[in-house]
Amino acid sequence: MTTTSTDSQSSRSALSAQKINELAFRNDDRRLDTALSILSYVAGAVALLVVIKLF
Amino acid sequence: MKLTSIKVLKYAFYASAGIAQLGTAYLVFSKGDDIKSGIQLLELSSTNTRLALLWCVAALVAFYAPVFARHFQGLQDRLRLNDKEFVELYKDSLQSAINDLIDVREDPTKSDRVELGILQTIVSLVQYYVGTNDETRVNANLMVPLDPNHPDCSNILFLETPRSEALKQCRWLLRIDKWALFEAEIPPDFCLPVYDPDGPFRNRILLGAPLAFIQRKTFLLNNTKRLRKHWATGVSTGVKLEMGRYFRNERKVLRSFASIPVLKDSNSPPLAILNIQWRRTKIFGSSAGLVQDLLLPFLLVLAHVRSVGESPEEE
Repeated sequence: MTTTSTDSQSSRSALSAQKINELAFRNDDRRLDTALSILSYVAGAVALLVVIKLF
Repeated sequence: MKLTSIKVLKYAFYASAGIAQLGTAYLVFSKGDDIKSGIQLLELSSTNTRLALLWCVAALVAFYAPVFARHFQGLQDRLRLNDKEFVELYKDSLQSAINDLIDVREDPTKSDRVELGILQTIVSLVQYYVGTNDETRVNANLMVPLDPNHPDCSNILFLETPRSEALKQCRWLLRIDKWALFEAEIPPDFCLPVYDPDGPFRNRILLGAPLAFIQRKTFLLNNTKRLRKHWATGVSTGVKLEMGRYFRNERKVLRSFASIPVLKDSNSPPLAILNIQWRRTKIFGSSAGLVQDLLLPFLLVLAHVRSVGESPEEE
């Protein structure tokens, strides 16, 4: 989460930034996507090697 | 199509890819000979031929499912900005920025705090777009133009040699005024030279913020390891090496960035340069124009806040 201060000194924009951050936090799927993408490449490479070796 | 449906489809394709790839490998391992004979025989009534067809289908799915998964990933990146909840928050944040501007006009001492808030909003918008919540991954700073003899600019980076001659050719120096979020990695006090665009060093203007400042348009660097095509023709090898070294040292926090001029009107030089950086490549993803359009209203508000802060008597 952001380090945006929520005290009385914060501007309205800073508070809005925090709300968008909360939404970003709920929608954070970048790590999972990267992991899945790498896994699909690795699994593909393994499958290809197996096919090449056995045929 | 809804964002949720796109997400479901994306993960469904990733799952099918994994299952199909493992299935293909398993079939080859356990029934390799049967599949071979099935292909040679090619008769639908034969079990081996059916097995071979199943293997072919699995292989096709294994090959194409990741392609579709990545297609839906791209679609998700674009449609993320149309999400109803996000659009509502976007409208609210724009309203907040406008209200903040009204506050600053009444009390210019608030300008620093408001600028910081707008910078944080911009960072949050980009973070949401790139699909990450890690605050250290996306950050933004505001660079302001200063006089070349300004006392705050003793440490000037990427200056041509001889430095005294290069400094004479500088029309401005750009210095970081504030960060949206605390940035421990980037050196805090340095200035970048902006050479006179009408002077003899006009072909040595540096990529990034200086170029965005002179050209008054966004400069986007998708990968700090690939600078070659961005250099101006006259930049010396020494400066190129120095900047390459700088980006290598800062690669953990800075792999791509965008420098956007903060303009109040079309005639005067930019009031500042907004730099947005990310520790991964392609900060604006595949829809750079879309993100810039999204940030444009905030840049305009920022320009007005900045102009109030700089010259309150004019407002």
